[in-house]
Amino acid sequence: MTGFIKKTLEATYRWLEKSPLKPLKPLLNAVDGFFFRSSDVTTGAPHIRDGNNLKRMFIFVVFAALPSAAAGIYYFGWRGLLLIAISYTVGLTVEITFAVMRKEEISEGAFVTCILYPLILPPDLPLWMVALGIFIGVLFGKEVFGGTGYNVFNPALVSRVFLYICFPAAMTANWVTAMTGWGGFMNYSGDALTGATPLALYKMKGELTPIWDLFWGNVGGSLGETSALLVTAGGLFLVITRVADWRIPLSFLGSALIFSLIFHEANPALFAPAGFQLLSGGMLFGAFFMATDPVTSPFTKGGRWFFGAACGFVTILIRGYSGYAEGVMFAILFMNIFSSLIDRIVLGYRYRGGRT
Amino acid sequence: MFFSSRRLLKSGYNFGKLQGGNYSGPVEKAELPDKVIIPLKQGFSAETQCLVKKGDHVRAGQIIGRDDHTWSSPVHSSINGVVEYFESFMEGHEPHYGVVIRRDHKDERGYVPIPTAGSADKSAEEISEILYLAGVTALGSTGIPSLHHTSDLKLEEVKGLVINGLSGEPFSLPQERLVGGRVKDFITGIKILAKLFQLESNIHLAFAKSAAIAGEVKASALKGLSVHTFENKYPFDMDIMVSELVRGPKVPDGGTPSESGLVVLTIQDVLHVYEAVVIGKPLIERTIAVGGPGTEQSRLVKVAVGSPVEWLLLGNLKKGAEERILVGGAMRGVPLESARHPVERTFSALTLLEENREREFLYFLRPGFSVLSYSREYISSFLRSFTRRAETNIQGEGRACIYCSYCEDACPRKLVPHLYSRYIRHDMAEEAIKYGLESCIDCGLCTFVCPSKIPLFEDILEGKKVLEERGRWSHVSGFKKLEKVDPEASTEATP
Repeated sequence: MTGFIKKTLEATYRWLEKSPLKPLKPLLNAVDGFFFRSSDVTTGAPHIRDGNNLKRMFIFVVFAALPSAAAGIYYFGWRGLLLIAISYTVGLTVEITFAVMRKEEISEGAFVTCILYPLILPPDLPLWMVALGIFIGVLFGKEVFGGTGYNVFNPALVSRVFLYICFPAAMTANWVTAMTGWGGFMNYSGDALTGATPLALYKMKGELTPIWDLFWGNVGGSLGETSALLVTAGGLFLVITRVADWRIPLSFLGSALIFSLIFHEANPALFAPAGFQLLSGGMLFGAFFMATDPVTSPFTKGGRWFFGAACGFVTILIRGYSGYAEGVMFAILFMNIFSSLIDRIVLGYRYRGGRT
Repeated sequence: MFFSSRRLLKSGYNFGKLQGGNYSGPVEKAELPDKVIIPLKQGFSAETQCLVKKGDHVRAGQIIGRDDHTWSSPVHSSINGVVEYFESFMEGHEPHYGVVIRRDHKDERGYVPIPTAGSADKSAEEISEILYLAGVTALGSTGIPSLHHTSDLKLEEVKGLVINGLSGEPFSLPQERLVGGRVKDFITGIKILAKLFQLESNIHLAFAKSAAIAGEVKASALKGLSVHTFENKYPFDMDIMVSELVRGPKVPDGGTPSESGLVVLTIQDVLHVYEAVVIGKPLIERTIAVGGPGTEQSRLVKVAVGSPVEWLLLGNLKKGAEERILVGGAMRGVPLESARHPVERTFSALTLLEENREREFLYFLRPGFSVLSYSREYISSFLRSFTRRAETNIQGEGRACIYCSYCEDACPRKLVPHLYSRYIRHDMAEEAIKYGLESCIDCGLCTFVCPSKIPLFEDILEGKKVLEERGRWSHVSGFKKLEKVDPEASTEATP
């Protein structure tokens, strides 16, 4: 098996050298790098290297998102699979195109963006919108900045915010009633349900969804964010394996908890109770999967505490005061802007000894 | 930048059980080789003047190289034999010379003792002379101060003694093993050094927590000696780290322990002091750890100085493997260009690594029972009992920095290596100074942990070089001292 793959790859390399498709070499390198690790060895001190690498880190994010994706497909139908497939097709095409244009290697970052993005979309969103969103997100959220590692905003959230602003009706109305029994594994899509995510219900009617429904996830909402249980499970997996820094989800959820407790006490008409706030909408998914993106969050420890806490605070404010039912996406994107500034302040304080 | 001791203790990385790193066997005594090569320059010192010529009969322990006017200690023949020829080998770009001595099969293990030695009851001047004649003053990373010119510290400048018994670096010599059964000798060695340096207190001894011998040494209750135990983490065993650990962070940024008057020696060095002064044995034998995944069996070997490294490795190399021979551990070891190089008296470990060029299938999906990783992405991270495998393979592809801040977490000085790398690559090395570059102690952990496989340590060294060229930093005096030069004072001096 491995021998066959190796031979095929070698043959393809030889063929590519002579063919006019030579610029596509990064694509072949990526395939080669997927199957076999590089043969490079260290050239100086330190002579040994850690077994960790970006492929491992990013594939772990994908693994962590799989339970949420499975929940989405169970509750909202296997149309969800289609969303994920479209996301991968379009997103990877953009990534590969840019890698070829820049004559660089294909970065694994796109694999993460393309799994996270469909999970934060309404399950019944028209498919062409899904394609357009990820195209804009990967292109303008990441590639124009220079690719993975150089982007300022979380590309998955850029995709979503683009759709949210361009197609507000489609983005706030395409919810689906969660299915039970054999659920979505047997159905293409569930019954449409208009304007009734738990957060919207609270905003419009002041109606609270039972906590247990939020916990299991059989409520209306984005494809992969409804099941608090599975999102948390995936998130804890990331934290335990040290792929995501525990400080961000902890401070995010902690500050959301504290501020929703305070604000609910002060103004129960606008602010939902704390437990409901934490488990509903994209709070958990945002805290575990979106805010922890290392590229767009601060890299200093202190910065991460502050970043998470500010995200939580802004989320609660937006949910309470603004016309939007959900605020996680805006909160994270808003705080992404300040990431570098936060780092600068933290480092400036840490090295305040004043050596120039 | 200064840290609290608690923060220091939390830093560093424990490599755990490594394949080829198990030195549990007894210390073996290596056979004497047929010929030895005694380099006239060993370790950091200057080259000594050769005192023998071709055809001379020399005895083990006889001084064959000595130069009282340069920064050096005498060099001895380690066997009885005849000077056959002189060999030159390169160290960097400078040629150095070695005396090749062929063994004649007489009086195999005897040696010429140092005439004045014989008991522990000596004056400081006598001890200084004996240690110099025994070549022991060449030990330690910058030598043991004596009345001769052997160290960058003068004898009266010594303020403290730190004895390093840690071995956190993969495949480095487990120092505490050498004290086993020799606690008395060891304590005597410390006493001798205390007398030499006129130290009443400020003698520190650092042991790994796992070292059973620590209690026994503590029980000896030597006046002025404080015994500390630490987790056996890398880079705690670096001179600068161990001296900060035992005394609190008092070494200036970018400086060496000797700048604050500290002499840092290993346990083996202290035992050599004992042997020189009490027994009169010159430094002609050294215990060396030979280990690493490239060996059949990891061993502790007592070997005559000057034996070729290949002699030591005979029959212990893994078959069919491409080997890399390092002097020192796997992190900061210096690769040997040829296995014919002799064992020098400053060596303490030889690490043999395999060049892992094998292209493993779907390597990033492996469960990882034996993967060595700082992250917790492999099973081996959760169960300490797994033997991990140290690999020279990069194990990934070079990618852009994603600011995961692993390098920051791992850094024993809590610096921000990825930031320096970025600044230095954009030719803004001065900016890196603002964020603490000068505190870097060159341990290389940042490069080890980087999942994007960025050669951070290489970049940092490059940056230091650039800064040194521009006169902004100097490794010897550290950054601070250069900065403190008053610009007005210098303009005054110029007419």
